[in-house]
Amino acid sequence: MLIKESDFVLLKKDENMKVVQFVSHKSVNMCKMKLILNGISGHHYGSSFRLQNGQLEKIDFKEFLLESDDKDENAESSEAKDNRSLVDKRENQKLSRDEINSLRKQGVTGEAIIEQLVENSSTFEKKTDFSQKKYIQKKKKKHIPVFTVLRPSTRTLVEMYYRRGPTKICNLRMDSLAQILTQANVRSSAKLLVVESCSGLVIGSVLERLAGDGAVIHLYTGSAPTRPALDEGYNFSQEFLQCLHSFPLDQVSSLMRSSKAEESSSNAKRLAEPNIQCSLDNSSDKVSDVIIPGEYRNNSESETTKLETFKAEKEEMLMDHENLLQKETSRSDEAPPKDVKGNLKRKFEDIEKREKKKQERLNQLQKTKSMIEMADLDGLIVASKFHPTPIVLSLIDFLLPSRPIVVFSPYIEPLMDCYAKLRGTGRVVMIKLTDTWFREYQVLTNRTHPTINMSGSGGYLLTAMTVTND
Amino acid sequence: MSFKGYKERIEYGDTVIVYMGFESMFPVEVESGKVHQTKYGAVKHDALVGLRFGSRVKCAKGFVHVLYPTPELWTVNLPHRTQILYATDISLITLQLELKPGSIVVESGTGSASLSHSMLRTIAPSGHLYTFDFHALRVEKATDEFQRHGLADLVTVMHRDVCKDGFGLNNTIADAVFLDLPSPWEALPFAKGVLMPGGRICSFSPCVEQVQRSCKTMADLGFTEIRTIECLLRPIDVRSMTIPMPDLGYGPGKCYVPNSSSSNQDGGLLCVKSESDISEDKPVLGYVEIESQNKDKHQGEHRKKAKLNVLDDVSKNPKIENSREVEDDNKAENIEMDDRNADSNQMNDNKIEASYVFKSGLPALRMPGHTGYLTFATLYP
Repeated sequence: MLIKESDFVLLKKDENMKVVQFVSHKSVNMCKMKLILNGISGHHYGSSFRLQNGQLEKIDFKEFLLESDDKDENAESSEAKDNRSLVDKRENQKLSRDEINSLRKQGVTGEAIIEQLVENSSTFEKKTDFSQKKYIQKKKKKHIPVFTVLRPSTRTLVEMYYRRGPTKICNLRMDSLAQILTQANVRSSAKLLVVESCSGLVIGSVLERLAGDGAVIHLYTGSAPTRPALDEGYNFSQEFLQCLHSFPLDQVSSLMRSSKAEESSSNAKRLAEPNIQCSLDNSSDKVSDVIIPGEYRNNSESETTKLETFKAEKEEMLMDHENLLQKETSRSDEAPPKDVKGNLKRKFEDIEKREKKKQERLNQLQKTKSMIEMADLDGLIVASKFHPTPIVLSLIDFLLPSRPIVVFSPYIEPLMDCYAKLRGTGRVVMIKLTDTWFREYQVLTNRTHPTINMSGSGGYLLTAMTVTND
Repeated sequence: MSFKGYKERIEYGDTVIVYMGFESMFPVEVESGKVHQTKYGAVKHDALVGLRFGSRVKCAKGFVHVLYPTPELWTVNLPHRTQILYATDISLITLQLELKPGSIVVESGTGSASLSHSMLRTIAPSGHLYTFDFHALRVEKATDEFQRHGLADLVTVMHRDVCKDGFGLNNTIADAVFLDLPSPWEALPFAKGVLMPGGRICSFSPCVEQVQRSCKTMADLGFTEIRTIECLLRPIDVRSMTIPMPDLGYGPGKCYVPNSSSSNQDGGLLCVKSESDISEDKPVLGYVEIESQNKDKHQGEHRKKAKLNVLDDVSKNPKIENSREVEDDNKAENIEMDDRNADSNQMNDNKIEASYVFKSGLPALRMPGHTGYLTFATLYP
């Protein structure tokens, strides 16, 4: 894949990663350096460039790094070196910081600077081969800035977010996101509900796996959904994005459920309230009683009448909505048409535009609402900063049976609560709470070991499978 | 046929997962006239047809649920022909190889097709999987399985030793290559030949020596972004735990209550004078159970269990749900409160044993320690 203008690209230097939009001649700040990106255009993603005079020039990264360690594999040094006589002091390097800086200002290449540093180091020769390599690598990182341009994808974006600002993605580590996607059986043509506070990363990763077929309904908080990962990250086409639907989380209460599930939703609402007392009364062993008290009402009604009532109610709602639209349109019709001043005319046009947009939004909202109310969704993914239990209990009604529910939290306690509540509903099986242990390895000849630092936690995952007891 | 995509109702030929509870389940291919015996009774296949996936099926001595076969469920239920990969590694592989609809994947060895089923789910409907195994019978079984599962048009199974003979694919067509071989470095040059520019590769090896050799070969062949990782799943047990409160000899009426925000009395100990201090309607955090053994000769030994409230102000504290495993919640009120009017002195005659009940998320005592190292790399032009 070739890099082209206006793509979002992921710049990587050593451990630093940043997404920027590639705009020719526009400078970009990264790692305290200013870059002009022109030099990357037309090259393949994955190419590496070194910064020379503010511009990026392509290099062959593999040759540059000299990673291959053929030499020391065969060569058995006659004198086995060790660090018994090495003392770490500033004086080991004869060049001062000022001298090095002036070399840099003079425009001396990074390689030349490193050569000088090695020459002027009193300890370099005494170091082991491995140690010398490590020293040179370190100097290269400092004096020869090399940037790699990667294609933004879930794999690269999750890495970037996790390193730069894990709190922006609820500490969702890469392997946890990987688990979410498979446990939720995300696949082409699936229709999923997603509630997330991960900068849109979870939404993006699901959209990537739907590839234009299926639906993601993003339940968002605030006045509008914010999905930075989509806006400045994934370069999704319109085909992919048409799978994305949004619905405000605070209107979940207005979602219509079939009468059978009505009780569960009203009680879910009760449970969703902060100071519930119910779980401690006599029916404490049977939390299911709390959520679905009494028997189902369907004993008296037949299936068809129930469906009819439901349909009728929906039609009513659509009628109301139509009326609302009518009112909106008529309001703008009433605006004074006959004004001579151009200003007022333009204002009128603006109002018309805004009204039109508003209608479109309302239309879209109603469409998405109906989509959810069809209650034939294939999965629920929750990875948000909010307590998951009320979210899960309220939305379980809209999933088909034998579909996964996947809840992620950086903390175990909310998931333990969700576990207990879900168990009580009797509407899911296979409830599992897990986390993953994740470790990276440095693999080099005679120097293979786990990396010195590792992640302590990637968050916890609660999974369950919906069932129906009809 | 149910593997092809989600469907609502069960038909003949579908694979369903019969779930009995507590990780006990088995796969069933729905066939007319067949019957499966379970510990709850017989499950007639014909009775399943037309039911929704996820339905509850009544049996003679109980019930089971019939579930849709996600690749994850298939993985834990499939007939093993080899050691298989489980969802944890599979998830990581799927993400790191950037699999998605339309991906072309090359895999060797096929093994028991656990990973294969998962990859097919992700790359459907427009992708393709070329999978290779040098074991003739495994090739046969896998081919048959894919056929019966309705996946045949998404996959090509080949009997081939890729380390000796390569993949036999004419062009560089693969977005991703996966190797689970004893000597993957032998197949790496062939993998390079079949990978598109920017393609991803993964090698799964249980032993670190294999990893070292693979990484070296990858680097020599020009792969970059070489990364070796390990990922293990930790199951966590959610359950109600009861641990005894220690008797430090402060006296039977006094008991430390964990999670209480006040330590205002008696140097940190909360004083319980009698069971009348217990009230059912006040919220609690963790709570303590008191068993008192009344050594009254007339009544014999009898135990009273009662819930002890955190006596200070807990209105600000969050609620936890009552553990279902604790019995006698109701009985607490029915307990003969002979001692209710007693003051501390009388309590001295009774031995008070207190225990703390709480909800715990405990990692299992043993967890999987190692499956294999996953090495990923990219082939940039």
